[in-house]
Amino acid sequence: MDNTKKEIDFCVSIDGNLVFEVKPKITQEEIISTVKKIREKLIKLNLDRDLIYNVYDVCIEMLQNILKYSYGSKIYEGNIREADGVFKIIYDKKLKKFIITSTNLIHKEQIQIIKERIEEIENLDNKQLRKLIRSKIKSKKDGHKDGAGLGFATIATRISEPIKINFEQVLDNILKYSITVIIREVV
Amino acid sequence: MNNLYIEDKEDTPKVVLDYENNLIEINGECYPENTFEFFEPILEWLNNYFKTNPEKTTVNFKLSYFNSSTTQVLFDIFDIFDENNNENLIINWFYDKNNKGTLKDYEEFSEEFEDLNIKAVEK
Repeated sequence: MDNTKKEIDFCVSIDGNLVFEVKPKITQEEIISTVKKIREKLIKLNLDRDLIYNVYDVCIEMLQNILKYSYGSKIYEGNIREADGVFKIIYDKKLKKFIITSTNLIHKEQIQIIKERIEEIENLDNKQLRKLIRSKIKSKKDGHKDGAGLGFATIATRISEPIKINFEQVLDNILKYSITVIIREVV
Repeated sequence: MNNLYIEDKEDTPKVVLDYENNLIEINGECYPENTFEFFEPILEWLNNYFKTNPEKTTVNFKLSYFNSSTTQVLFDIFDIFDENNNENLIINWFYDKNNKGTLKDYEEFSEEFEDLNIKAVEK
């Protein structure tokens, strides 16, 4: 590995044919343990507290998105969820930036929702994003039992470049969905 | 009316809803798997509490981190404060001076709920 990069891998194992094979499965417990480890590593790197907060927040939002929206996620007794997905965070010391990616399967019906959410935050500055979040909360337009549909807008307030998304068909109705965000040390 | 105490976990805050001492305190991080399930008893307690017409209430928000689902519920909580607002309701929002995010959150809520007396308190 390039010694200018620190990689923190959380579950990376993909069966190229049809489905993900991920170990460990993503659960809330895994998320807690993962973000805790990430924060500890970032604190050791002596990074700015605001930057650590932004990275921490984005990691939680992206991991919880996998848990909540991944195709094939299961809910067990006690309302415990488990999902398949890939999450990776790379810190490039040389370029002073974080590259955070998550990948999971979705049903094709979710594409339109994701595209709409991305379109509504495009070209908005931080102030406009916060205004959008407030108006979504008040109207509860995209609200549901898992949240208010604020994830993308919240992530957008923390990052340095527009969110990149990618869809790749794996079955008739099932797609591999990836999201990549970049957080720079100096915004 | 009973008090309600919830011990903190890594992804949920410590909650103190103390009827006898008119104290409402939420302290820690908040990003539970089932946000609405976690906050349901809290919202219910708050609605019942304000029906008792408390003389003076102190609210201490000491949330060091909360996710987007929690943001929505916090707005619901502040809506309850807003509906029951009077000069005896004091809300303290604790922020970390080294973390602009927590101060921005304070600004967000104090702008949105401008009739409430929300004080920023440095940790």
